[in-house]
Amino acid sequence: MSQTETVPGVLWLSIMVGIMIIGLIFHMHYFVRVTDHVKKTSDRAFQRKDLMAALRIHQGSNFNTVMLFSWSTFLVAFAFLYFMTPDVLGTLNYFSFPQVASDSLGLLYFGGAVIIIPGILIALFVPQSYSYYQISPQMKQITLLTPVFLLASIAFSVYLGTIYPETNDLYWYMGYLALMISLALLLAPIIKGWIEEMRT
Amino acid sequence: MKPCVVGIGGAGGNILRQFLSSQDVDLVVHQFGELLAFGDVKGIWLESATQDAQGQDYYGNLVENCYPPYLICHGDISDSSATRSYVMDTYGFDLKAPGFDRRAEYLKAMFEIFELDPKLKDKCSKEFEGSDNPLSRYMWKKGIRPFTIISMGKSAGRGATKAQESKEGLAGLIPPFLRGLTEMGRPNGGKGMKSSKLCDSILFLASLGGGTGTGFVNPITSFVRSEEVIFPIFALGIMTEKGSDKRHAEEGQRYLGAAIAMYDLLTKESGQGIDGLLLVDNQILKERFEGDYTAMDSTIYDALKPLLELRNYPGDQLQDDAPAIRRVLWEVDAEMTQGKKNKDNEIRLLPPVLVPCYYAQHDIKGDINTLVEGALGRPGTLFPLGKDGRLFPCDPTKSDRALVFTRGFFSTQEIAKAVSTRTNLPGSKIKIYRKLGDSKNEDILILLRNPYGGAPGEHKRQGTLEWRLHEIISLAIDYVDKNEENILGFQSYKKITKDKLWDYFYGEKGLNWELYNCLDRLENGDRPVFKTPLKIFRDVATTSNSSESCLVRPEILAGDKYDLRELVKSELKEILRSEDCRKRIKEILQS
Repeated sequence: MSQTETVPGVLWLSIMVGIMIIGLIFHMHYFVRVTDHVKKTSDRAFQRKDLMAALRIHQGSNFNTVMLFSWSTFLVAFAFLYFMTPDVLGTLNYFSFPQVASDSLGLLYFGGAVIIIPGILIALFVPQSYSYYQISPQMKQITLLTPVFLLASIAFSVYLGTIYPETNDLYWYMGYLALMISLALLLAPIIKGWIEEMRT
Repeated sequence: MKPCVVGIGGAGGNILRQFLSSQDVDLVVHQFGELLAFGDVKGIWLESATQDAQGQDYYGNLVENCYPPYLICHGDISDSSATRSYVMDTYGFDLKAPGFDRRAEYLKAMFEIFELDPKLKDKCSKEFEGSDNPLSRYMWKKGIRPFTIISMGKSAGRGATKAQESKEGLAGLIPPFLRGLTEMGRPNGGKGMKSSKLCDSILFLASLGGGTGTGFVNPITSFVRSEEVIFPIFALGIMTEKGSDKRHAEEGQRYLGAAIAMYDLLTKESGQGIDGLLLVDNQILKERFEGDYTAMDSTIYDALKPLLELRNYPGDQLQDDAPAIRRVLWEVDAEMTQGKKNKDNEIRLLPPVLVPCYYAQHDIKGDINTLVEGALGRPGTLFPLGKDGRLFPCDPTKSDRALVFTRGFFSTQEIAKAVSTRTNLPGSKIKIYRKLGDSKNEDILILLRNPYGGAPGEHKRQGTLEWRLHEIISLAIDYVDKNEENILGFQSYKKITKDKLWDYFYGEKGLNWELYNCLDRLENGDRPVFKTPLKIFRDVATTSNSSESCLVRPEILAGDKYDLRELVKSELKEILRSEDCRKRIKEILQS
């Protein structure tokens, strides 16, 4: 264990936010491409909402459940990694709320708060976002790995929170890597859909 | 179009597996919601061989609320059933037979007696709550109907089990947004199922030349029609391949079953039977995949994907619903109607034959001509088979309609132009259904309607539908001619059954005679090939071993007037062609 802060947390954070923005751009660009293709070949004028309705397909209850769970867990893993200790973001962290931090169920309260507030938004938008893509069963099966990486990331964060004020670079890197991989898995259906669309 | 896919018999069950393959994640320990199949289709496997159904682990018993389900056709009949005993004692048929190995006539006869024997009707009605056929009623009401929109508003839950009721009662306590996550697959489909999940049509999958599928597909469609006259019903018949199969059944025997099934399916008028028979020739697939049956089944499923795809072009959502497709399938040209009316002042519409032609290109090229050429083949290249996407031999230029389903970004005009160039059909006879597809592949399914007839001698041209049907019917005739003992000598048949079967196969205007007529029509390029409905227990009041039992004369079928005229014509032709007649004419002329 070392007391040094060598892990470039802000850089990792930037990369992760960058990936999410890229995912969003791909998602938007996918619609632009499809709209262009359909416009060129359509017999009649149509509105954007018609196209959205035409594109939507049911992805399956299992997949939706996994995705809802994964995105919610992603938020928890993200919050645990960045807000558990003051190592990355300074004053804004878990230990700023001593009543929660000193409670034996403090981590549970922390995780619960993260899930409930943005989790509702996730439940509203995530299944709908994926419904515009033809996601193969194989790709869906691969996304099953996401919760595994997320749980691993959470475990690393909890460990780092537990040993604070000491720290461990290896666990930081492992936490970041697991979070990054899970983000890539979460965005994979969208990115794959965009790549396939770009071939047309 | 969102059909309830009904696989009948062994082959039907195997292909149905492809249709029901899950598009969702497999969570292994617990499955949320319903099984998600491509195009949101539902499915059920009907099987008569209990041992086959129990010897696999994909389907579960519908009676135990499993999904995907199988249903044993005779599951409603008890061992000690009075109806079963009566049928066995009087006719020698076993209603609980564990499979109908390559004998289409067995099931055909078994279903006919329920229509014709009043004593049997009475017994059956008493034992099975007013039903006059325990097999069809069970398969339809317990098995198929709950998956269709027909079950809405009807007492779909009549057969609901206690377990199911308690489960649904529990579901009412759960908030709606969580309900999807707590449902463990669909129990006895239909009851409580959201209307959007129900099917708007039925697609039967059966082999042509097998046992259960070949025999059941026709009676079950007839039964459904007795309740639902306009509900869209389609059948996909998979013609078995040449040679002997692994159960040592020769091609002649299997093609006889196929001929009987096709004959019965295609001679029932609109509202009495199916709305269209899609034909697939396993011989083509066998040569293409060197006998890999899983790949063959997968190809059939892939070929129908553009039809099942739900992602229509914006604004086109309603164009491919089942009633619309049904209407197009029955669409008649004015000139054809006129021709019919002139003969006997009535129109007789028989279901069309549809040949699926499919091609997919994995590189997105946006080239519709390549797709059409891949599906229909290049002009003048009908043979050898398997080089293009035709799943049954045919000449695309003979078809009278083309239903085109595409996935990819193509304009209606370019699709119509490409199909018209290859088929010579005018734009008005090309119906186009565009789907958005998946941006990964482009594919096309062209259903050619009635791609045969119009010119004599086409049966000699390899690769035409006439050529293949001629071959199938010739082999069936040959089998009938040489195997009287095998056909009639089935051990349990009673005398009345043997007599009737002899009459059906070898009697005047029986099947053999009618099949010869079919060959004539194929040789002359006449359409349709199959015309006159045939029954095994027909046209006589017969007394059986049981003094009270009798078969009443069946009612004259619609359109018989025209057919009788045709029969007399062909009979006269045959007499004039005979050596004896020629001799006599010569003698008269000489004298």
